[in-house]
Amino acid sequence: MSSFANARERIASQGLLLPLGAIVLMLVAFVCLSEITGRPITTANGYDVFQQVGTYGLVALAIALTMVAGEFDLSVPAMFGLGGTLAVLTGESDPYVGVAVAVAAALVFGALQGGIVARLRISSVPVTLGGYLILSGLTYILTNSKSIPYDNFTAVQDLDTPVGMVLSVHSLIVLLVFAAIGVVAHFTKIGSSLRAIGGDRRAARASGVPVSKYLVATLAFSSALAALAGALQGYALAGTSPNFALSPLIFAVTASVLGGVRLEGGRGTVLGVAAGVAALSILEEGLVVLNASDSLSQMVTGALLVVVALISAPGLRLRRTARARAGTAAAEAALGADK
Amino acid sequence: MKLSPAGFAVTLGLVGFCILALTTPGFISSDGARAILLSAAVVGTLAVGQAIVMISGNLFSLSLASSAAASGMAFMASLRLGIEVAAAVAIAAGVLLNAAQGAAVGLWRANPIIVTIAAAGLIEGAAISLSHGKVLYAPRAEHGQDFLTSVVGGIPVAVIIFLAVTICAQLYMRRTRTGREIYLLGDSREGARAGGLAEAALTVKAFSVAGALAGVAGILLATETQSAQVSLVGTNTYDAIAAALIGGNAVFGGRGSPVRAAIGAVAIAAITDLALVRGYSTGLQIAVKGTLVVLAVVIVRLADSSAKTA
Amino acid sequence: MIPEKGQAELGDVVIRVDDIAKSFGSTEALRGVSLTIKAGEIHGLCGQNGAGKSTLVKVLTGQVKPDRGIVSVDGREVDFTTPKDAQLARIGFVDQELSIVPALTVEENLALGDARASLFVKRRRRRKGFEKVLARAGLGEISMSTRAEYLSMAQRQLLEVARLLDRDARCLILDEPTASLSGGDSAVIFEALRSLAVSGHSVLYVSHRLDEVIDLCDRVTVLRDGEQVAERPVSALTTVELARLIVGDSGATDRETSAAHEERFDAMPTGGSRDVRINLTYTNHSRLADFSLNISPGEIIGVAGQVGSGASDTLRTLAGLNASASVSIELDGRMHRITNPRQGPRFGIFFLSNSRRDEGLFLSRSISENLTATRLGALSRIGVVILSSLRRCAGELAKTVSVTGGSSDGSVAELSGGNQQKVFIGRNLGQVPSKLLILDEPTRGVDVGGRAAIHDLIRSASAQGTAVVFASGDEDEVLSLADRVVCMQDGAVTSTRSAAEMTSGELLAATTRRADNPQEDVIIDG
Repeated sequence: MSSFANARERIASQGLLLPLGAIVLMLVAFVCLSEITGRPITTANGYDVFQQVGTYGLVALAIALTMVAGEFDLSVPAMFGLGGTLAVLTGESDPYVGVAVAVAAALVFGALQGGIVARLRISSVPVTLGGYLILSGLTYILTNSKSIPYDNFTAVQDLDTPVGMVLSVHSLIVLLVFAAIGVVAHFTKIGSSLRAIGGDRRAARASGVPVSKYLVATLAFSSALAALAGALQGYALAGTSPNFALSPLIFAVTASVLGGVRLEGGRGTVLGVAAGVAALSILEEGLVVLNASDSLSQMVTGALLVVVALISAPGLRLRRTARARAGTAAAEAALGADK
Repeated sequence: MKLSPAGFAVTLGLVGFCILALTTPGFISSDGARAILLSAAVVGTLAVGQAIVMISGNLFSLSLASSAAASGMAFMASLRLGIEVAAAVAIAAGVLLNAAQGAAVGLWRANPIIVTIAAAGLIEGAAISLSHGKVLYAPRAEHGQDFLTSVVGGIPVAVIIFLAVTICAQLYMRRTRTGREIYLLGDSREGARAGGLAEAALTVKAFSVAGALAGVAGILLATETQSAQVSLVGTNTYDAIAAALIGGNAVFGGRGSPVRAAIGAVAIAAITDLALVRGYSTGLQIAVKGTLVVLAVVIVRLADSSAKTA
Repeated sequence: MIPEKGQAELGDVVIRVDDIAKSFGSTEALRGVSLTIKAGEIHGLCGQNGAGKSTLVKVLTGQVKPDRGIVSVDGREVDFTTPKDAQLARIGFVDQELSIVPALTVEENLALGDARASLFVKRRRRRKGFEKVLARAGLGEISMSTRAEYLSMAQRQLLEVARLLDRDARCLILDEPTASLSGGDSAVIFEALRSLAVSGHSVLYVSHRLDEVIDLCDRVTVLRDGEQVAERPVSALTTVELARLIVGDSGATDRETSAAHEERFDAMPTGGSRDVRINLTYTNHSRLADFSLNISPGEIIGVAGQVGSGASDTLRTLAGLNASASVSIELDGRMHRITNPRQGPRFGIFFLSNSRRDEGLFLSRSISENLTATRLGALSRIGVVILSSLRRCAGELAKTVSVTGGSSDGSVAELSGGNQQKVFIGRNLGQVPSKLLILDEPTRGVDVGGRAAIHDLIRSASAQGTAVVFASGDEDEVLSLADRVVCMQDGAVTSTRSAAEMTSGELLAATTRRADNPQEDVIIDG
């Protein structure tokens, strides 16, 4: 087999075909864009892309982790906001303290949500919806419905310090976190156990995976990541303001699905999510270059999510693979039906 | 009558609420009651729509409030053609926008949360673009629009409409073939399929009815503020879902009812107004709402698992 | 006490079970069963449904504690309180529902849930270990990075075996491993099991496939009604004798008298009704063979087959639930192509699936709602349901099937299994003129009395001219109820005979002889 075919097979088997494809597509579109508008691509564009990755990347990873486990954490966008608020409020003198407080609070809250989901066998969707409201309310209470400024300018500047030509300390931190989590997922049994829980929970339980513990840990961790992202963002913007926006959620879900995470769970890699985030950030940068209005950006992202949702819809997939896998399927049906 | 732990908790909550209400000056007065019902009207109508989506087993729609805002804008834009036409346009818009989502969910089994999140973004973006970011106002010569903001027999018309649609929705779900089959679909999708029920069509119908209700909510919204813009969405998305859940609808389908969602909306409105009168902050209200949602979901789940034998 | 890991000599008794008894409520599942499993042997376990096989397996794997009796491993008495204890005693179990996660690779599945493994994966080291167990399980050719979803069912079974070997299992219990496999696939499993036996492992092979048991096993234990009726070396048995041991001498219990039979056929409306002609063709990938059948009006066809025979699949295909089949049913001279489950009811074709929990009843709804679930169209006018008609219809149906317990508004979930099944059946029988009833395991979970009642209902439906096709894994039921019996194995029909001419033993043998074995006409007396 030629090395190209070999590489392709390895990439496909890792589920990276979609995200890498998405990045290539976006890059091509971007290049065409610059040809059309006559504006050359500069490192400033690259910087913007990575800033976007830095802002929402961890939010996407947080949601992606819960999706891989077959759940869905709707409280992530609210924890993003609360994390920022907590960090800004408590990190005035020492930014690290602020981050620690935000992450610690998130771990506790996420674990609580996870506990309810695991013990009572409830879907995470309504529970985290309630969590979303609770966290939003807490944010309003803590900020007294006002914007809170962050006065530690050294910290703000530190975060903004450029690294290389296209990164900043902020985006670098986020990339490092991605890398760390990727290493843990790949080199420990946590990654495959998580995918097992999402892929076939009954089989995972029967195999001896401590499903409840994993569910609690996953929801705790997703909250923690969201809080971290929020804290960094709070510092970077030198303040926070409470709002109810759904946009981090739309970005996170689109990036995750682009990154190869399946909605039903069981599939997805950290690298894939990173690629999905990058692809979506390139798209957003392109829209900025085009001077697209906010509403147009919203529509484009919404449309992309619809397309992605339809492509990954089980109804569509079943028809395609039905003919290909009818043998296995019939066998499985026999096994399931003839009890 | 046996009192399960769930029932006990609910009773305790109600008692606590009544005490709080009775000891708050200005709460129990016809003005107070009217204010509660008025603020419940919009959220309640949306909540009834959410309840129907929940009953059909499709979780909930995160775009219902957005399509309500869009309907409100359509209503304003067509008022010059007469109020009946404008109302029809608004409701039709709601039906179409949501039927499309129902098709994606029913025909292709796409994830309803994802589809409705995306639709919300699309609808809001489109609404802003089409209106060029401007606010739509009622034309000078309003045709019968006064009626919608008037009061009949001491009750605001908006409230009458809310109660009327609730009753209609309840009758629809309990007394028509489609409504009853939607309950069956939500209880067991495979059972409905094997029994020959039309799953895809039922899902589209459920979403369409919810869309029609969103259209009505949009009309109420627009006439309340005498204007329409996307920001009308506000917090209605979550409030409606919270109302439906707090009223006792189950997110896993097959049970619950429009009336419960309406009661949940009234309860939320009452709590919100109580908090306002007592001077509690917005944040606390929202947090309390969230807590109630979690409690309601847990209670419904516990009640369900104790009823179902292994 | 948990025995140490030692090498048992071939032929030593590894597991001994003495006088095990277990009751669930008033049902005696096991009434004093004894069994020995030796090192290096493949031991078959046979018996009809309800004979106690699965309970015995549950005792051996620590899922259930016996009410009395002793289990010993390597000569020492053991007391399993959880499945983990059984695993520690080196007993491994491959259930029919595999615990392989399709989305994970072979390597990941092998490592899944291993509590002994450290947090950090030592890929190179564990790969060596995995290579060994994969080879021992007959999967030496498979790449470890293949996703399990691309493995065949046989390979997935063996992957589970490999995982058990990796966790040091010495005695493997396999429950109906070849249920959904074709001949070629099964050979793969047999080879692996034989080589495992040679290397000192023991296998308890639970199966309905008698010729496989004769082919593969060294000794076989037969259970009947919770008791052990035989433990013999296979060399001393033929398939026929084994079948007789399993079935015993009980004849079909609920047979129609010939007078009643005549009466039924006399009562049928004559003229106008024509045969129901069924034709099913499958796509290339299906393991089911094309199927044709002509049914006279009022005739009751029993499709007999064991787990995985294709009997249930055939009925589901008839109902329109199989996307990869082309279904044509001729009723009254008119041809109907069925492509989805909604069409059947329009033409008078009604289907009852074999899983009332997952695909049948609406558990949170009331009894009357369940009874009328599929006929709301007939009970409404302009889309509005007429409540009085609904209540009347539900009442009549409930009376017809004599559901006991619970009011008509009570939740179906609170009924006993038997009553739930009656509600489920009630939905399909009834006043609606039906041309064809398709019933998959119509008396699942119902006791003897309830069975007779349901059989009577089916007969009265047939007396009105309705053709009935039902599937059942219970030989007695098939012979009691059916006019004609269609035997299926491996996805194809092996024979079609009049029920009056068959005995249970013959039926069992006919559904458990492999299709590619030479056909001998089996005549068992008695």
